[in-house]
Amino acid sequence: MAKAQNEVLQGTLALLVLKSLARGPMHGYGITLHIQLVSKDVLRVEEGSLYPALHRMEQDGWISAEWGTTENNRHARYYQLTARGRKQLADEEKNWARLTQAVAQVLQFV
Amino acid sequence: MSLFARLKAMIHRDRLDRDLDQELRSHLEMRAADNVAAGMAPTEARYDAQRRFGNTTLMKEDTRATDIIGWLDTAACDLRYALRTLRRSPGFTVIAILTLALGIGANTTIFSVINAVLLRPLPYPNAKQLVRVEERHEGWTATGISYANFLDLKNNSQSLSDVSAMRWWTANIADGGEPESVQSALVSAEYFSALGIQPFLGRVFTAEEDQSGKDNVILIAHGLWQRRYGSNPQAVGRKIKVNDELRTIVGVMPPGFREPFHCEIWAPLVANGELATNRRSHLLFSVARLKPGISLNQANAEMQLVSNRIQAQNSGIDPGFTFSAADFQERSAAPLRTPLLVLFCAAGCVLLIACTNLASLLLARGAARNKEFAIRVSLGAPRSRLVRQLLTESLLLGGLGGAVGFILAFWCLALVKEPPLNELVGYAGVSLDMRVLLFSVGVSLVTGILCGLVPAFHSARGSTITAAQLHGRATAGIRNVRLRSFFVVSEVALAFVLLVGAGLLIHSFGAILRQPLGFNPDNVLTMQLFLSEARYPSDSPQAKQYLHRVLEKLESVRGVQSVGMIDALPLTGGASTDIEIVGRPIPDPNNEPEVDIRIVSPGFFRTLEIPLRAGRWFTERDTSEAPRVMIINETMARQFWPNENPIGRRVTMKDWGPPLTGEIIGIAADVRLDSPAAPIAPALYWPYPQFLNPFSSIIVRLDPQARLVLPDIKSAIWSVDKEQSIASIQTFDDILADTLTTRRINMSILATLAALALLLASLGIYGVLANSVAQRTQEIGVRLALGARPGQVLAPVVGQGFRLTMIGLALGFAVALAVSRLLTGLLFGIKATDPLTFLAVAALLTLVSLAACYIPARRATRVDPIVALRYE
Repeated sequence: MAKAQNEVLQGTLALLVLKSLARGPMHGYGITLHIQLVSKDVLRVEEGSLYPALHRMEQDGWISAEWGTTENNRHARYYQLTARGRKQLADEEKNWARLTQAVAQVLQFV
Repeated sequence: MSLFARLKAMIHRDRLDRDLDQELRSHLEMRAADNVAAGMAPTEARYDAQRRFGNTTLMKEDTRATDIIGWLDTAACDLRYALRTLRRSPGFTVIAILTLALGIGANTTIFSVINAVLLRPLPYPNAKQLVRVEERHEGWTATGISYANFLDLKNNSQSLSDVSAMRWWTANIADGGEPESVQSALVSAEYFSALGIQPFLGRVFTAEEDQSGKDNVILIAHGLWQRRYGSNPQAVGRKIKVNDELRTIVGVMPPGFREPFHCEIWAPLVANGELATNRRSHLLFSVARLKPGISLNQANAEMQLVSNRIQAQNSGIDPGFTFSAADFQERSAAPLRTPLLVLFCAAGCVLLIACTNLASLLLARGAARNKEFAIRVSLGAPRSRLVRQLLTESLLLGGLGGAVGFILAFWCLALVKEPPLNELVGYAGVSLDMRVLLFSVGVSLVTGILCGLVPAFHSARGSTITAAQLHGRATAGIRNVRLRSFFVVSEVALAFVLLVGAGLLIHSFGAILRQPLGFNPDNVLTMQLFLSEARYPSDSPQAKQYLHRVLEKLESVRGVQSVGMIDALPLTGGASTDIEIVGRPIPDPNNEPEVDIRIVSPGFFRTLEIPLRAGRWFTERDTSEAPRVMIINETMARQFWPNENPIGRRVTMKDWGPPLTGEIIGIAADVRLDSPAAPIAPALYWPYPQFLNPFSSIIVRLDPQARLVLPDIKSAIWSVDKEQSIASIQTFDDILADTLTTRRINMSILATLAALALLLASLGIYGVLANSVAQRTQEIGVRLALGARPGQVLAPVVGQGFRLTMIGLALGFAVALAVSRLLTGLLFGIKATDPLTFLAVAALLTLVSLAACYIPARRATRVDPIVALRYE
């Protein structure tokens, strides 16, 4: 069975999460919505892999989390970037740019 | 992942779970709410949210797995499962643990000896400063130092402090109890300050006590104090007779301290007579301490200057003389280094074989558990979990094996603490310290991983699930069989190498025992009379008179056939001297020929049945007044008078007091005077009335029919002087055994390890074949049902085992050829590549492996076709 094409590329999940959080604190569900919205429904984060990823990033010290309330007065766990996370984001963005450029070059080469 | 975050998570384990649950719930609720807002029915909305999430339990597990607590949970779970699995097959478990325990135990034991002797600093304060000082001369290996040189070094060295000297001594104790003769040492006062050792009771020697007349003091060993004086503190201060001189016990040394020479009595080293001025008697051992901040090289450079000065200012020094200092521990352990390394390698080989065996067993089990793994994989277990599970099992086995091995090592060390092994190790004392513990834990871990790694990956890879596999029998893949065959081959090869090593040592030992001794040692009793200087001064008429009367008395004891005397018994070494042949130009005044010298009674040659080659024996007429005469051995005759008759020639002995010239009157057949493994040196014999030293051993040839003559012999000796102690009553068998102790120990340990290796390798062969027969039960059953004769079934099984053995042998042969050189220094009379040993070992291994093949092969022929087919 072919996987849905909008499944987030392996390895880019961390980048997407970090980038989303660069705008400010967000809860897990918010992150999925944000990515889906901004990518105009092209990218969809699998909920099953989001939380392990968040947990790992938290233990790596890239993000920190605390409990808060949503605008609908719901209890939710908000994640935000740490200083180390910002640095990681910058690194990963650079990597990504290099990678896509390289892929583009290969594609343009006729 | 940062350790800190993990630890934090570990502490907040409950909170972690609660947070995760809550977070997921809020996520689901938000999604459901949005779904409802988008127009879904509430139930469907909730269902959709849940569906998007997939398997929440799995996800929670994944999240938790990134956490240390999750990791620990899994480990605990693996461990529980491993314990259950092992408990379910107790036979396998016991064999596996015992196999590993033997290997780890052997390694731990030998390592603990290496640790004590080579690695751990000796138990003296600042032991690294201790050096052993020796003399070197042109063309000689290191020798002891002479007393005069010792004094010069002590007084002049700027880089060494506490320069001390010591020599062997024998003490006859007479204190009212039974006279006892104990190993002793004469030591200079600096000895104890050099080692930095304090007495257990009393005091050590003072510098004044190094002078003649003030040396009537002794120190005794803790063991002697317990044994002879019942641990009574009053023993200190007591005056006892030692070698017929009254000496005061001034102190008791600490428990276990018996350095040097494993002695039990220490007395001051006093230079009297010849000893004080002779610079060519290299009798003394010397220990000193480097001054703080001085390196060994600096000390050696400075000692070179001292040596040069001594050489310039004195005559009568052996050419090319210098002092040389070496690290005390390193120098003391030098003779043990090669044997220990050889034994360590051997123990390593045994452990490797044990590992291989276990790996092979685990592989077989892995094949049998294929179904279990397949089920686990199909339920979603990743391969890594299976590998982890299997590694946990093998690590558990390694750990248990290590624990049992450590206990085994503890027992073995009890043996090392007994004579004769404890004498080899000395005061360093073997114990299971932290380093040994770490070593054995490390070895157990490595063993566990080594045993488990290959089988684990192999089994996990092989566990692809097919429906057929789930329902059918687990069959071993071709790769599995190949791997196990490879294991067997390497085991055989390793066992071959070990057996060759053991074989070479055994062969050497036999060769030494087969050396012709040159005399008849049967029915001969030997004992030592150490004539004390006080009663019987060296070379005095009293001493000669005494010996004469003792020999006379002994001749008349019933059951005694003949009696002889010699200063140092054959096989045990003795004195040597420089000689000059009268009438022959001196080839090199600094490098005169050296021969062994022995002082004997006329009855000596007759008693040991040594043949006369030419001339005559000594007789009663060769008294101190008669012309001086000597008998030489064949080697001396051959070496110095290759084409002449030596009888009637005159030789001057130069080293023992004023030069002494005598005429050669006879040639005796060669006798092994030094160790049985040493080549025969030229030797000359003096009759004791013409020259005597304080050492005398009595040799008595007994009538084989006579019984219980020993008391008569003793009373005959005591009838001349009832205070003379009689020491070391031994037969030549005892003496031979004593001189070969180190060799025997090396040989027995290596032989034990090799036997272990052989046993393990044959178990390995047996295991592989038994397994392959078990797996082919069906096939064999069918063939038997179709009329195959037992021989036809037997042949391939035995053939398989035989083929593996042969490949292993070939491999082992190559390795053994390459490494047996390591043993060269320990061999006697054979080369390290002795073809006979190699062939014998190959034959032995082949035989044992065929026996190991036989049992599974027999089982194959006994397969009941009906049962085999029903297996289907």
